[in-house]
Amino acid sequence: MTDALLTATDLHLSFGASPALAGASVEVAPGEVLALLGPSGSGKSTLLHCLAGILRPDVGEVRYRGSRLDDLSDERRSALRRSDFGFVFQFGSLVPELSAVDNVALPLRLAGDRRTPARSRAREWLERLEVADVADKRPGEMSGGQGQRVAVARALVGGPRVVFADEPTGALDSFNGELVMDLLVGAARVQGSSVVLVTHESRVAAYADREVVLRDGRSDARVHA
Amino acid sequence: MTSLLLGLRFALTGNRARLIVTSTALAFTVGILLAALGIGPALQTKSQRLDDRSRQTTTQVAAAQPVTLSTDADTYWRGQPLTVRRVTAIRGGVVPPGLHQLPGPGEVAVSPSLRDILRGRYSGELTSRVPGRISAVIADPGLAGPRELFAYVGVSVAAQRSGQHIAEQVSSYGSHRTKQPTPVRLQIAAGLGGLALLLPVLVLVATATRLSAASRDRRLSAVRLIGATPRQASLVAAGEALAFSAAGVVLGVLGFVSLRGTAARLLPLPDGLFAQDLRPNGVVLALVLLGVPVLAVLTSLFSLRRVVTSPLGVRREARVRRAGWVRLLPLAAGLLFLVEARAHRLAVANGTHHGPLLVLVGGGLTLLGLAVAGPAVSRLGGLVLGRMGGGVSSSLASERVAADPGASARVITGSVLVVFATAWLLAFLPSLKVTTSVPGDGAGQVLPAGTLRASGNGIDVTRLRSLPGVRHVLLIGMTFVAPLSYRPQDQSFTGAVVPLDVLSCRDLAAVLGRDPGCGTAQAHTLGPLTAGTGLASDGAPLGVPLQVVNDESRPGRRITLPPSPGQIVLTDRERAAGIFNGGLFLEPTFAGARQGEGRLFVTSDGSAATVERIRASLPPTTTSGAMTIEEQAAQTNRVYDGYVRAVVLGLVMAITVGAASLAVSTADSARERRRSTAALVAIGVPLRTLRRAVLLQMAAPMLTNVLLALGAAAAASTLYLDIYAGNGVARTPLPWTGWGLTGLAAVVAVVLATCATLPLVNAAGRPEALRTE
Amino acid sequence: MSVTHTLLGLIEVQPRHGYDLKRAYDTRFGQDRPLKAGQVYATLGRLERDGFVAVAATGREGGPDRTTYAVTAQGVTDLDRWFSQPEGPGAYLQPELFAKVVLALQSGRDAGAVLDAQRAEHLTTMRALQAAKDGVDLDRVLSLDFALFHLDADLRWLEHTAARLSRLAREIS
Repeated sequence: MTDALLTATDLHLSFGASPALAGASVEVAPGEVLALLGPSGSGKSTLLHCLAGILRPDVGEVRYRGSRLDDLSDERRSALRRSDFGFVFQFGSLVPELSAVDNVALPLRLAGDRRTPARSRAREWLERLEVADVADKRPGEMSGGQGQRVAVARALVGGPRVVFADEPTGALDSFNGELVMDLLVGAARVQGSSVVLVTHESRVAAYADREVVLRDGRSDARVHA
Repeated sequence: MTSLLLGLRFALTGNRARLIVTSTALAFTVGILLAALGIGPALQTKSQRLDDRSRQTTTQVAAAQPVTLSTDADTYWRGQPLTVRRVTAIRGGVVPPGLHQLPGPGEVAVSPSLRDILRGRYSGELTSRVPGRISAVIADPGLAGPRELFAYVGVSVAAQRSGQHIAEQVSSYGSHRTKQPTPVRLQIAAGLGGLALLLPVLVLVATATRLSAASRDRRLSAVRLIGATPRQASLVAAGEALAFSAAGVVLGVLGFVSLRGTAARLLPLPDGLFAQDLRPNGVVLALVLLGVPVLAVLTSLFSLRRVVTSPLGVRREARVRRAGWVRLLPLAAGLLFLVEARAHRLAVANGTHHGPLLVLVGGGLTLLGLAVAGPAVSRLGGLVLGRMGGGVSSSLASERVAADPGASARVITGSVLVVFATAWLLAFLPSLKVTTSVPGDGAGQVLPAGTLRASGNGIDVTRLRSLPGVRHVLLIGMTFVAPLSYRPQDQSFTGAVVPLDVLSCRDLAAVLGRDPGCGTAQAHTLGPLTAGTGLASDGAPLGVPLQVVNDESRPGRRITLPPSPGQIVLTDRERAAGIFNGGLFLEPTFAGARQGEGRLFVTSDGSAATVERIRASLPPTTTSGAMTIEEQAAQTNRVYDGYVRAVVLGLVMAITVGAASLAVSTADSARERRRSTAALVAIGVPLRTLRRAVLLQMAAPMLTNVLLALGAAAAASTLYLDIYAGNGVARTPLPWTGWGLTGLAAVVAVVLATCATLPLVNAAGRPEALRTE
Repeated sequence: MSVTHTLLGLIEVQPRHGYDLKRAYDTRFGQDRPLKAGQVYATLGRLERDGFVAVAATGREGGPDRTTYAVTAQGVTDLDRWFSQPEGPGAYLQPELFAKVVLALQSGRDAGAVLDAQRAEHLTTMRALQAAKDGVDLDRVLSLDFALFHLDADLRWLEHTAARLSRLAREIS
């Protein structure tokens, strides 16, 4: 599909002797929410890292907006992540020594914004994600659910084209998980950002427009729309 | 007991790198402590051996009592002092330590170093001074150190009698003199210096035992959660620490014993140090071997106290305890003690008014106060950085410092204390130089480099002039004159007997390198004559017939000093160079002093071979004081130089220890922060931003701490010098430049050491840390 | 629970007569509800009428309990269709899905594909339910969530089973 925003074609990647990806392909359309499903060890996180330009596959190519992503230099991929992508991880996304506001403002500061306007935009996002009350606290001082919402705010504050979320609700109870997913998908859709979601939970996958199932490093040949 | 063993298991099966690093750090600590604490006993042993070698002489000798006749013929050889004792055994003689018997005539007993030289290529230079066959080598108990050059030269009784000096009659070797106590001032200085250098070592121990804090917390937390009591948890932590420190102690002792020889060789003591002397005494040894493990255990328990008391305490952290300004109190208190001491400085300097205690406590508190104030000052550094720096790296760095100022401070405390110690020593040592050094003479500024000076008799000037490498020779003899007033009945002169130097002005000009206006006069004055009285400046009547007084105080020939002697012009420095005895001197052709006798100045090309040739051609007793100007200066500054070298050595050790702490801490925290770093890299933070943040995180607190340390050192040393200034010791100026350089060097060193750990930041940024599956 | 297809599947694996068929079903699938003999014979009759099974052999005594039936080509086609078609969401999904998986393994079909297809179907339903939660009353949300949670439970079992497929295959044979 030529109008796909982000594509991975037949990716293979091994960590040392153990293969993580053995022929995984996926396409992400603009504004689409895509779930990567599969059991532990199926390579979903690895596929996500390749799509985001964090890892380079041994074989295969990743294209973003038509041009090759995987053969760019580390510097260029890093810059791309800064400008076009957002990230939510299961644990440890946030810098423990910075307050919530400073954490959310980080992508803006990296883009060159001054501290004050960056922090004020960050506060707006914290409001939107209903965690304004922990704005000046550090990650160690807030609950898991609050922390993940701060992480979502940080992922979205820069207006990314793609948000990558790796088991964002993995450490949360079902209510907090639902809250985080509602806010994440809701805000992403409003902005028109695509979301690539790695999860093994079906209720989280239900938020996506479609899912790709991974097994043993390979993606499902059938893509259900 | 099982808890302890569990702790042991944790230590041994845990992170291998941590085991190695911690044990090595502790071993290093033990080794350095043993070496440092062994120096004192080593010096004492050395001093004891010198005492054992000293001579008890007697003038009354019992009929059958064995004595040894001994004359000194000390000399210098290529910048090293060479001690020569010319000995003769009478009725068997008494034997000095290190020998079985005295060498007979034609034999010599030498120290091992001297033996090696005598067998080497320079032996020719020493044969005249150490003549004879090597019959024995002096054993260690008879030597001050392995590098000492010492010889007992056997001579006949006749040779003793014909020497210039009267031989001493040695009845026994060994001294029972009371030791001169070291001035209190120096004891305090040594105590504080030792403390300043010991603290970085303690910091290293603390750092090493706190490695991998987060995973240790988690592990102990797990132990508590499965039902261990706080006591059991403490025992586990103690067991871990004991495992590391046991390994450290064993390795440290092994390292010390095997490297002791190298250390002894490297220590800058003039005669060297015997390796086996470098040994702390029993009590101190036990203290180190037990103290380091105890300290490690205590540090471990202290750092894990939160987990021990509440296993979930590490999950959600309360606001970090602020490093408040109350931390500056000990430092302020220390300085106040010193202010109090200064206010009563006369009493303190005399040793009353609890003087030594005030100064010691004041100095010690200041030092400890610096360490305690670390976190507060680091936090200030972080705040300033946050205000001033605009970029992401400064924000990140300043927040990291603010989040845990204690951790920031811990890493650099060692280096900060070294800065303080260095700054204080820079101020203190010059005052020490003034008191310990024998005042030198100004000859070094006037005479060319390598000029050899000697005094004595039997000097063959012609022969000296013919030696290769010798440029000019100046011999200043002496004659005595008196007015014609000899009274045979009393065998004395009624008028004053005036000593006058006799030297050739032409030779003087050659040695000085310029003509001071010799002309053709037979007598010269150094300055204007006292007008109208016809007297030279030192009372010798001019124009009046005088009598030369010979050795037996009998009248010799008559001379008349010219009424208008020539005046030579000397610069102030030349005048003050200690060449002349008085203001008037006579030419040899006029006054005729005894040949070959007097004070000798020889200029040459200054090469070691030439200098030795000159020395070898002088008679033995004249050789004794024959030294070049440079050798003389080194001699007078020997004690001071010794202190300086000891200080430098101590500083090098402290700096090494400080750098070790820093490297260990930084590497460890990079590892602990792996996941956060990986997440930051994932969201696109450039690695160089992260690296810069690590650097700033280290540099900002370092700057503020160093400034405080320099300020405290300036205050402390000013007060200290003021206290002891009046005691005949001149107040030396404060070394502002030195202080600035020290601070700069410390900051640069810390930054460089941090840069060395930056590759770990790069490694931490790899995505593998993000893997959760 | 489609008894008809289960019996047909058992016959496909191996031609059987009625009594044998009932025993096979009860052992595998009918722990709490064993089949009535009458239902077995009735089903067999229907299957034969529809052309999915044919008489393969007759016992000496004659009579339905000793008549052996075998599957026809038409029957195989029908089974193929049954296998490939996922079930709609219902309270008794598990027995059906379980039967499918076991029989697929026995007949050498791709059991993984069966599970995959079911998963996709469930997810589609769950997506619809999730979307339906937008802007409706709380009690409607609760009922939608109820369905979602149960579907989630189904899928958990499904994933669990998928992980055990290889072991299951060994046990079956």
